Amino acid sequence: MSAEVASGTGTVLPDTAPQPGVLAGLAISPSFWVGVAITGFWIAAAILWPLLAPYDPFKLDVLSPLAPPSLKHFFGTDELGRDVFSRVLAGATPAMSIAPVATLLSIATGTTMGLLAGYYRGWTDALLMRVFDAVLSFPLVITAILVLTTLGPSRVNVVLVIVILFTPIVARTIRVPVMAERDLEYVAAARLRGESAWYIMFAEILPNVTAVIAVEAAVRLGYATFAATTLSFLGLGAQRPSPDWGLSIALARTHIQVAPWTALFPAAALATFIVGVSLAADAIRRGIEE
Amino acid sequence: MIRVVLWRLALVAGTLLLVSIMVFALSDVLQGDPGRAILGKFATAEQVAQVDRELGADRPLVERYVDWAGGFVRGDWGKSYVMRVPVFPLVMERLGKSLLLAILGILFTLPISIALGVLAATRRGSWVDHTISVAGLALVSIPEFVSGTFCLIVFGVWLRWFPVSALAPDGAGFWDQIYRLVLPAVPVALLLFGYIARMTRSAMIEALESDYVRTALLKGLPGSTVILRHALPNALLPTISVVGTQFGLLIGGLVVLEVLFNYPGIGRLILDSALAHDLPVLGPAVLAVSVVFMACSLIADALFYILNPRSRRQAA
Repeated sequence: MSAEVASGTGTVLPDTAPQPGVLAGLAISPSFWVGVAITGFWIAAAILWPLLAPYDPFKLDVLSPLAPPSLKHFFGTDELGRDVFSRVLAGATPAMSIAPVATLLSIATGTTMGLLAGYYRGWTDALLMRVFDAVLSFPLVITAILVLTTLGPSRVNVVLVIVILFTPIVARTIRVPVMAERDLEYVAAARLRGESAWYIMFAEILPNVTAVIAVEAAVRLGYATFAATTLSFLGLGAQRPSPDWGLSIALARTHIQVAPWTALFPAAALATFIVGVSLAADAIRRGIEE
Repeated sequence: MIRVVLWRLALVAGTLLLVSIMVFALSDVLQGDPGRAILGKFATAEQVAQVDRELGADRPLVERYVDWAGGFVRGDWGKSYVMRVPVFPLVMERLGKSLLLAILGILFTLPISIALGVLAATRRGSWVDHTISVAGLALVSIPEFVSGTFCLIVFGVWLRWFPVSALAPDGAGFWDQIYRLVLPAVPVALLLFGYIARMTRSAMIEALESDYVRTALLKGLPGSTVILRHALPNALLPTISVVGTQFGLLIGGLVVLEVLFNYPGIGRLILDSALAHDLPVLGPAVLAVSVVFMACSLIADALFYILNPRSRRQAA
């Protein structure tokens, strides 16, 4: 995961709920449909791979290691003779499980922090922003390495790390429209009615910033996939014998000169999935902004 | 003006302080009990306490932090547990290696991204504009180890134009090292392309819609002169900020490419020392990366200020 990507802050959006026109705009956007089709394909693969895969992705075949692509093995075999085609399909499952969970949790914590900073302002805001600056002041991948070597590599910890890294980014994005909402009359009215701060934040302001949150969630999903596979690549996420794409590429690196297919196909799978998610997310963002 | 600068420096100092506390706390957790680590699990509690006292590990946390941070500031960074070499020159050497790769990547990407960003802005809404923005979006979202793998397979394995390992052997010349870094620099360039092109495009559109551009066109200057001499210098200001910040984040953020291309930069030093629990290396290496990032964003701010005629006039 590259820090510069994950730290890309979202744009400030009009602070209104999605309009009906958004859906009409999406329906005619070709990049949205391309994105949805690619993402849908990989979601289907994540669920249906036991039916689609010609071989057991975990079954070793020591007699035919590193076999080039052929009619028998479409994508060849890896160093342990496992069918790369089947492993690429099965690799959709880890890609599809970690990133969405991490995204949902980051959106929940980030939105809460953003509401707190934007609503209370003053020293609450200043303190939160300083801490966030410190978290984001070195490449996210370095923070992730530090946290994961402290906690030990595991799927749960990968989710935790992504939540730690994305919470400040989400909070910064949400804070801006919250600050604008807070000055509006309905918030003053709620305060005069004697509503609690928590009620005003979550029941009054939150529904009015859902468009920003929806866009941020869509964008974060792409980056969460980016982050999770990068950590697998570095050996800090999924472990052997998982068919995880990032891990497969890392393991294929040692014999890339004799068997480039072992790295090529997982890389292609990962690239298509991530581009699909970003195309769809970007179309949604543009749909809401316009 | 001086107040702004002082405030900015105070912010940097505060953030650095927070970062150093976080790094220290993290290495304290990673370290566990040094006496126990040295003596093993069969030593008695008294023996462990004795060693901890000798190492100074039994002192209060705050005291140890001040000691550690003071050593960092003085350049007294100690010795690596694993590599048995002084940490300061090690970190500096690796920092230099990452710097070289980052600079090469920026040099690759700047001319193309700015040119295509300007092109997209002048052909706004056309298929050229759409193609550039979709390509930028796709490239930004693909992890660098994936694009790096494609480069490695196509140009390193199939075409054999470049070596698959980026580290030049000992005694190799500077240009040989640059040649070996071409392949890893391509993913860096691809990743940054989307950001820089997008930023240039939107700044350029804003500039093209401004009054001074309309005036220049109305007084009969050719379109290319207006774009290059009048609009572009203004449109480059936000681009400079972005490049500065991104460059700061690249140092250390290149760990993935350093692993893929077998290049010993600062990112890989951090990864290796974290995995080996080589704490005397880990702390200073992470802090050094943070200092570089802060310096880069300060330089970017300063450049923005110097190049912006409006802020110059205000100061006068």
